[in-house]
Parts: sequence; structure tokens; C-alpha cells
Amino acid sequence: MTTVILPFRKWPIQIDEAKGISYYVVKPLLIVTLNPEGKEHLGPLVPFYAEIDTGADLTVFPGHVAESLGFNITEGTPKRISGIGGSVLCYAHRIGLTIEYPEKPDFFRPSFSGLAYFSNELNKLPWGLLGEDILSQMKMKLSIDYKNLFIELTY
Amino acid sequence: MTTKMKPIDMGKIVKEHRGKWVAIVDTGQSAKVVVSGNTRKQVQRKCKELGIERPIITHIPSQLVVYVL
Repeated sequence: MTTVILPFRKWPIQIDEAKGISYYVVKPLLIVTLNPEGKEHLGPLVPFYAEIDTGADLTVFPGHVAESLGFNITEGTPKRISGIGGSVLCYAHRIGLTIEYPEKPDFFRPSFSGLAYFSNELNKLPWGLLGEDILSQMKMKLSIDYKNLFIELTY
Repeated sequence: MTTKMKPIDMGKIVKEHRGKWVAIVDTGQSAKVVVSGNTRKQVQRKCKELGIERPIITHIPSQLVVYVL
């Protein structure tokens, strides 16, 4: 059994230029690497931020991540995904995804192979959303401790 | 008793690179921008020139947005 403790990332949501006051949220952002599924040793490994989003049914990344993986994004299966603010056109591609711990390179890391969704309409979103489709397949216990500000993964 | 963990502060990155594409080296303890530019391809090319391996290349929004996704 492996337990890993990871930090939150503090992200400003409002900056007062005159007073220099920022309002922040703390986000459960992980570093993940993506690869074209089955080609981990041949294809590119693309690191990106992924927010743990247990409210999202599906995992979605900006389209430029698919491009970095060597996919022609529109060759994937199209699917319109809805959120509270509207919907975006996404394309499904088969990927491998691994949660990374840069400071612990020798640790065994949770990983996933299967479909993820990519949208060029999300290209300016700084992170992807790690949804329940992938989280539930990773067979790990996930704790988000907002009191002590850490994410705990046990698997 | 559990020790409180200090979050990695992304504030400086966001304040200094709004509207830009950035390459971030994130060690899991801190994060810093190593290349900044107007396009993703420009940033990718510069990273390659500098020999920076596998940075996180992302876009910093020009307007701070509150997300409810």
C-alpha cells in the first residue's frame, strides 16, 4: 500500500492593482503526464495540470494538449459536453494518463488507459479536469483535506 | 495530529504572465515560469532551443476568471 501527500496550488481569482490585494482559491491541481495510449515509449509524454473534479462526469483537456500528443484533434469521436456555463465540442481520444510526483520519481504512480476528451474551446483553460470517469478507474482512495491543505492518495 | 501543508503559490505566475503562454517547471514544491511567449508554438520552440525537458506548457488567462465548470 502506497500513500502520497501532495500540496494544493493557490490560484488568484482577483487582483486589486491599486491595493495589491489578491483573492485566492486553493485548488486540488495535480501534475499528470499524458501519452498516446499504448505508445508510452514511442510517443510524446506531455505533462499538464489536472484539477481533481469529482463533479465532472468526464475528463477534459484543452485541445492543444491533444495536438502535443500528436493527435489530429478532430479525428477523435465528437461529443458535446455540457457544464453550468454552456457546452463545448470535445473529441475523444485514447490516452494513457499517469499522476506524477516530480519530487518522488521512484514511487509507483497511479495510471489509467482509455478515453479522454479534448476541446479547442478550452485552449485558454490553464488546466484540465480529471473527472469521475478516470478517477473511478484508478482504484485509489482520494482525500482532499481543505483543513490541512493537502491531497492524499492511497493505492 | 496532521500538519498543515503550504500550498504552492501560483500568484506570481498569474500576475506576471496574464494573457501569455508559459512553460512552467513544477517540482511539486514550487513552480516557476522558464519561458513566456505569445503563442504555444513559440514557447515550445524556445524550450526546445534551451533544452528544457517536458515543461508544463499552458495559457494564463488575461482576465482572472472564476470557474464553475
